[in-house]
Amino acid sequence: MAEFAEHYDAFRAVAVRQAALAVDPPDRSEAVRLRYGLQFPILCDTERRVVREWNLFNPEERGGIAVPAIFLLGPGLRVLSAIQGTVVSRVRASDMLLFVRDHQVASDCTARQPPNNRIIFPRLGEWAVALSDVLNHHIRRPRK
Amino acid sequence: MDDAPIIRPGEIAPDFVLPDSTGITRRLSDLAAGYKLILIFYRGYW
Repeated sequence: MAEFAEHYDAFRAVAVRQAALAVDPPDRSEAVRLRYGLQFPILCDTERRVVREWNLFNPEERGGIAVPAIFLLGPGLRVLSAIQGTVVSRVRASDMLLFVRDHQVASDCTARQPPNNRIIFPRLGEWAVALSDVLNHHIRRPRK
Repeated sequence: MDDAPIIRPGEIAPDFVLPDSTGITRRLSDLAAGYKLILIFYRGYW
């Protein structure tokens, strides 16, 4: 998600807005938003209603969380691209940006294949943040 | 997650209303009005 935030201006330049969604309560999501300097909203699906409706509910971890996924929505909320990620792979923001740019030229989805997941190699800073979170806040326990 | 597929390209995504992290109520269709919208589902705070 931080990578998408880094491309914020580039996406805006091609008339693309961004939003994120997690099941975390607002205070935790706001901490994430501030930490990464996100300029787009994080939606808080604390009741897991949307992740269930979108078939992206993972009940196996931490009391039920969202399956990672990235959607590109067009006019009328029509889905232009839908990619389900994993813990270790996701769509690169730069690939999505290329897809969006080609899509604008072609006016349909034929110009470029939708982006694929790539293996994630966390940056050193991301490891440091994760370690800090564990030390300061502990790993979150599943809700009962 | 059950075996149902996620929403696929060409389909219409279900609209919804949720609060954001600052307490503002957001409707998905409003966020997307006049633009394309990237919606990122993430696992949440670790």
